[in-house]
Parts: sequence; structure tokens; C-alpha cells
Amino acid sequence: MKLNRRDFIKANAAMAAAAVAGTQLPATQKALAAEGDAGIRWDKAPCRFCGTGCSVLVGTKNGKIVATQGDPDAPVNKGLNCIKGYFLTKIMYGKDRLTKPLLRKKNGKYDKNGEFTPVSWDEAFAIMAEKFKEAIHKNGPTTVGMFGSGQWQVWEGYAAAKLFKAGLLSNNIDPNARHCMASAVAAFMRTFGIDEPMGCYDDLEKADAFVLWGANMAEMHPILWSRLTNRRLTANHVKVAVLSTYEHRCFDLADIPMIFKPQSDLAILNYIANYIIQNDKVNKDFVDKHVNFRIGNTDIGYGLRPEHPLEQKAANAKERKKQIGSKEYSFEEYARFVSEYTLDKAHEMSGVPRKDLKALAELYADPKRKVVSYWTMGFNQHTRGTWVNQLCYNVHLLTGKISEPGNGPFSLTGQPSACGTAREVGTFSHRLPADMVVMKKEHRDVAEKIWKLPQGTIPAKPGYHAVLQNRMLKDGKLNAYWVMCNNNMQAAANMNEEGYPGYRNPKNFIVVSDPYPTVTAMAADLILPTAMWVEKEGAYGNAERRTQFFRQQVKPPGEAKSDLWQLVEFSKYFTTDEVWPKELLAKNPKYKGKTLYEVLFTNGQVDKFPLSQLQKGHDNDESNHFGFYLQKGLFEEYASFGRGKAHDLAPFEMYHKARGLRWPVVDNKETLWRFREGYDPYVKKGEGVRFYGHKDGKAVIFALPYEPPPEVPDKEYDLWLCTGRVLEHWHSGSMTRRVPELYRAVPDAQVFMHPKDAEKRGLKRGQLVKIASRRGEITCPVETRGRNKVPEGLVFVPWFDAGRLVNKLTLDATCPISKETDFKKCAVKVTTA
Amino acid sequence: MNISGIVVQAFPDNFQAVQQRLQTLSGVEIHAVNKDGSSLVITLEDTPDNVPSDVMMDVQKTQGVLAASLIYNYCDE
Repeated sequence: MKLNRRDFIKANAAMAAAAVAGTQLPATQKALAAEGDAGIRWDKAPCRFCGTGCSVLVGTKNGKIVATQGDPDAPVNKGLNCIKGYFLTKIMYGKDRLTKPLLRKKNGKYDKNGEFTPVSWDEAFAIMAEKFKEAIHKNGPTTVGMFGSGQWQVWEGYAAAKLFKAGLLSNNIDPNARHCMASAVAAFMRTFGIDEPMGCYDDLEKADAFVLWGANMAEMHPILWSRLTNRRLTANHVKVAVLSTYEHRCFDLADIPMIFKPQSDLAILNYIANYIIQNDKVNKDFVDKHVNFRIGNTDIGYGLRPEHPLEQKAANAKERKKQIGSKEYSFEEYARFVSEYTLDKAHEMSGVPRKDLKALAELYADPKRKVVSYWTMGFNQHTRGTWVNQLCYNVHLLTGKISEPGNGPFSLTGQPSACGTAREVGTFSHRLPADMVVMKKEHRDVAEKIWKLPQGTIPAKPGYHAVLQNRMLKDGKLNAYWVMCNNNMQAAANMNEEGYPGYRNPKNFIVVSDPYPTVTAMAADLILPTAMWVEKEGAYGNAERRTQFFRQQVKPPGEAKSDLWQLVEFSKYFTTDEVWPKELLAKNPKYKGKTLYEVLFTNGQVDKFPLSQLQKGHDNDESNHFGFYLQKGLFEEYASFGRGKAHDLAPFEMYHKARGLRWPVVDNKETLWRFREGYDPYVKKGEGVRFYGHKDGKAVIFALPYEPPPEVPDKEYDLWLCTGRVLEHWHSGSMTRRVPELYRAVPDAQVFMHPKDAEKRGLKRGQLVKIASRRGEITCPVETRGRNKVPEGLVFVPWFDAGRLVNKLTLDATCPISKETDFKKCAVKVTTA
Repeated sequence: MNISGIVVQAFPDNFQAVQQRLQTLSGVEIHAVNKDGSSLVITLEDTPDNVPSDVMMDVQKTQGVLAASLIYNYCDE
């Protein structure tokens, strides 16, 4: 019996794989597989990990997830999953799952230096509300804040942003996506006036060349890589160019492999622009019709603390206006500007052989070749991250290779809903839904009207962004702080000098919501146990603007509750009289004496849909608790921000049926290529192309130079340090490290080092070494032969390992425009441990 | 019981060698090769002497493999 069952599951596994590979199996195996999976309920859900947005069929048996299958009906992954999909069945069942709220207590009372003690949800929220109110009463609403996530469900991010911006009247809410794609957002807004990629994954089968700029797709976006590989293997003329500061798995497929010196990507991109102009390959018609030119301010600092000598020295670092400032420019001026970036100069600065640089430039310049550029953290985590994103747009705009099948720049994302939640909902400290911002009165007016709130409720000043939140915690200016759905103590740079002292500052009360006792949770004062992934109804938005829904499949363990439940339930612990200014209530007396729950969530909109609309056969713990279809009410209210404004989302129910839809969804039709007539309903007949994010319908080419990074290797700290992810572990490892088998596969972080660098220091492969920067040190073993092959002068350390916190070493310098940290460049030394 | 169905992609010229290498891995069985010779179908199951996720990584890291994609996984006690 047991053997039969194994045989038939194996037959199913082979069948599923064969179907995807487009091949046939022997008839006996087909017959075996046809017996079906007895007792397993299958339903779709997007994967919990990266921003690709693969759809997975989730198999549930006896209230537990037992099987997964790549969803054959999903346009993103076409039945494929990557190795991380293997762990989806297991991430919820780690032995140390949190099941009760835990409060630091001594002698039965809260004490910052007490031991974690189980408490009820009511006790947890009561002390939390007390600390939030105390902070607001003492020094105003800017003393409270939240750090959220690109892994939040769409409605979780929406509820959080609403609770903080419109309920507690603090804009100090920012997502971990700040560390991930803030630079991409800033560049989209500057160049196109509207966020998110114009193209989509369909380009993977249509392009004639792919250029990877600081993206290790083979390990970080394996399914997209598999599609790209397929295109390369099945069409001989297709070329793949890979640029990175070290050699990784993508180089196996590369026709033009290039290792460049850190930061010189700025010079390479300007060289390509220069090559296009010098060789008369500018698409003049396109540029005349659709492009404006500007020159950006330079010498804008590095986002360090204002007293840092580098900030003091920089001409345009002090005021926001100057950091983002720019002036009108002409094509001729721009051509002169990039003319200094000659082949020789680009070669000298980057170390890339001339023939490779030329071949790369020719891929872009050749009018007959369709090119897609991909990038991830190599561009975004960069002290000139906004610039380098924009320089890539320049190249695509000069040649008109944009917004059409097979042609376009494409910023990949690392989290499942960095786009859908962090960006589209607007959970950044300066943003509102649908690309609106708190600084503009007309935008606040729109939000207040939709939210049925008095004018003047939302504060006009942007709140503290991610890096500033840690600094303000340390300085005692941010005192009641809620961290949800991320592991920022392990993620944020310069933990020793900023993050940890901030969390443990006696003035502050820190709450962390997480399924597991992460490094961040352990640094908190109150830990709230969280329901994860398919333990709730959810919605993610992937990198190609695709919004995907899923239903609750299983119950969370113990008393764990979803982020959404936590946010909405917590709002019951506040009344407007306690947290709104007297003047606001005096002018609007009907809001007096109401709880924030009533004002924000039972406003006749969010509570509009009855429980009878829930899907039969699936739980929905949140809706059943509050008494209405909470997710639907939040989604429909949220969607009203973007409909008719080029951010259209489909009706709620459509997403439960479809394998996701790419916005704008107009008349039930999704949009594959934005800004292009025939594809985008917002481009009128006869317009051809219209970059409608800007009023005049034009995109902007920005002239921006190379500028050096803030910290470079010197005599003492003589190596570059680059950090990043590995295939087996996702992000900080808080989920994947819970899977015992996976823990075995890559137990601990290593430092990847060139054999000659190891030899020079008398180090042997596998030996424990000390890596030190000006900010801290860690110990880990040396790897000189791994699949990441670094050049001399650079080391790579992954950041998944909670036992070896690489963020003790990294520098909290950011792109001054996007405020995103550069995790790819700082100076370290490596010695015997 | 832990069983996976996996599709492996490789350059066609490397195909024979890749197949031979994969066959040496514990718990791996090759079921089919697609007609243009760029991908093959394997299953991976737990055996008394393997750890499936280790082998899954070994498949990924096998010389000549460009990409290995998981299609199906079943796992119970």
C-alpha cells in the first residue's frame, strides 16, 4: 500500500513536470497519475517569496499544507516554480512559531529590561495603546511610527497607512521596500511622472537581447531566468549581457560577461548614451516627439547624518529642493555632457574590456535589435540609485526602445508585493495611494474626501523614512514604534551604531509583529504573533503590475493573528479625542468621541460588504471577527483612488477568478505595455506614444554624471564589501531558515573571496576569519571556490544569517534622492579570526 | 515521504554529460527529455541516505545545468 502511494505520487510529480517541459511520459505512468491525489484540496496562491509573482497550486489535507505545484494556468510561471517554492509547504511549520503575544515583564509589570512573558491580546494592545498615547501627548504625533513591508497584503498596507496617516496623524510610516526599490520609484517619478515598469514579462519571449545590470536573476528570480534561458536556447540570434561586480550564476549563459568596478555603472551608461549619439543611432523622431531634456543637480551628498563631514562638504546636500533640483537642457547640451564618457574613459573607470563595452553599446544602438534591461539591487541599493536608474532610461529613450513588445527597461522587485502594497498603496512616509503625495494639498484633499475625513486631517510634512526612523529612535525623537512583517534589525545598515541603540533606548517602546522570533523580535519590548501567507485571505502585486489574490487555506497556530486583524483591532483602543487636535474636532464635532475603528473602518465603505459574500468552504478569520467582508471593503475603498487615473484596478471578485491582472485594468482588460497606443487605453488614437505621467506627455532624459561612492577601500580597510541574497534563502532567512533541511543545505553565511586575496592574507578555504569595517566586525568561514566568484579586491557576504549579522559592517549611506541604503559598497578588512 | 518533479534546462551540447551527472545523484530518476533537447524531466525522492533539499541544490549546481525548476512537491511525515 505504502509503495503504491509513493509510486503514484511520483507519477504525478513526473507528469506535472513533463507537461511543463512539453514532453510525453510512458502510458503506464500516465495511468498511475490519473488516479489523482486522494483527499487533497488544491487552490491557487501567489508564492510568498520574491517579486516575480509565480502562482502556486497549494494542496491542503487535514488542515495542513502538504503539497505544492507550479500553476500550469499561470502566465507568469507557466507551471514552473523555483527551489524556494519547495519550501512553501514548510515555512509555516517551523518549531519556534510564535503563538502568543509576549511582553517584557518584571514582577508582573511591563519592564524594558524584563523577560518575555505571555500575555493576552487585550493586555498587549492596552499597554501598546498606553505607550502610543503617552508619546503623542508628550511630544506630538511625530513620536509614533511604523515600519512596514513589501510583503504585506495590499489591504494590510492600506489599513496601516490609513491608521497612521489619517488616524494617529503621523506620516512616520515607511516600508522595508525603502531598502529595496525606493530608487526605482524616485527614478520612475522623475523620468516618467508615474511609477512602475511600462513593460511586462511577455518581453522575455520577444526580446533579441537581454542586459542584466546588477541583477542575479538565476538565483533571485529563477523563474524569469528560466524563461530568459529558454528564449536564448531556442532563438540563436538572442544575446545575453551580464554586468556585475562579481561573477555569479547568470554568467553561465552570458554572451557578453562583464565584471565592473563598483559605482562605474554610472560611467558605462553614459558611455552607451555617448556611443548612440556619436554613431548617429538616436531615434530622432521618437526623441523629438516624446522626450524633454534636463540636467540634474550634482554633489548632493550621501544621505548620512547631517553632521557627517561628507554631508557638510557637499554643495547640494542640505536642502531637499537642491538634492532633487534640475534645469532645462537641450539635446545638443546633453550630447556635449556625455561626450566626455568615451570608450577609453569607460574602460579605465570600469575595468571592463573595450570590446565588451562596445558590444554592449551596440546591442542598444542597433535599431534592429529589441533590448530589455533588467536590474534589481545593483542599481537600487546605490548612493546614486535614482541616477543610475535614470541613466538606463536615457539609453532606452534615446533609441525609442521602450513601451513595446520586446523593448524596454524593467526594474525587478525583490518582495511579493513591493509594487502592489508598498508602492501602489503608498505606504512610504511621503506617499498616498495612486502615486499621490502628502506634500500636495490637492492630493491630501482627495484622500480625505475618499476616507470621509475632515479637511486638514492628514499631516502635510513627510514622515521619517526607514533610515531616519532608526536615527530618530536612537535620538529619542521616535518613541512608540511598531515593526510589522519585516526583519529590519537584521536588514538595516549600521546596526551597531543606529538600529540596536535605537530599539533599546529606554525612552522607546518597540513592538514587533512576526511569525518567528527574529533578531528584530528579540530586540523588541512586545512581540505579536502573526498569521502568515495562506493562513489569511491575501493580495500581492508583482513587478509587472499584476495584482493577484488568494484565499485562506489553513488556520494559523495558537493565538497568531494576521497583520490586518492586528491593525484594525488596535484601532479600537483609541478615540479621536485622545489623539486628534482639539481644533480639528471643534470644527468637525461629529467625529468627537468616536474610536479610530469607527472613523477609519466602519465608515459605511469598508464595512459595506456582508459576510454572505465570503467564499464557502474557506475560512476568513478577519471578516468573521469584525462581522463584515473586511478585505473586500478595504480593497474597494482603496481602488477608488486609482480608477480613472491610470491606476485602475478591476472589481474585487475578478481577482479571485483570474491568475492576476496587470493594471490599469479598464473595461475588464489588463494593460501589457503602458504609454503605447493599441496597448494602453490611456493613450488616444493617433498619439502613438504618450508618457502621460507628465502633463506634456513627454519623458525626461536627465544629464547626470559619475560621482564617487562615500567610502572606498584604502590602506587599512582594503576590500570592497558587497552583500546580497543566495538562492536557498530568501532575504533575512527568517522563514527559509526555519526549514531544517534548508538550514542544512546552506547552514551559515560565508565570505566569498578571490583565492589570491585569501593567499595574500594567509587564509585557507573554510578557515574562520574576521571581517571588520569602521562600524563593527563579524566572524565567518572563507569560501574561495563557491558559485559566486568575486574579483580580487572585493568580498561578498550574504545577509540571511542571523548568527553573522553583516549589517554590523555596512554603512548607512543612501541615495540622497530616494533615501535607499547602498548595501553593495563599503570598505572592510579581512584577517585571521 | 518527500517527492518532487523537476524540469532541468541545459545547453543542448552539454546534454549527455548533464544527464550522466544527474544520474549519479541519490534519489534522482530521469523520466523524459523534450524533443528539442533543451530540457529534461526528473523526479527526486527521499531515500534512506539522502536529504532531498541537499540533492535539489546539487541538481542546481550540477555542471552544465542552466536552470532547474521545481514543478511539483509532495511532503508528509
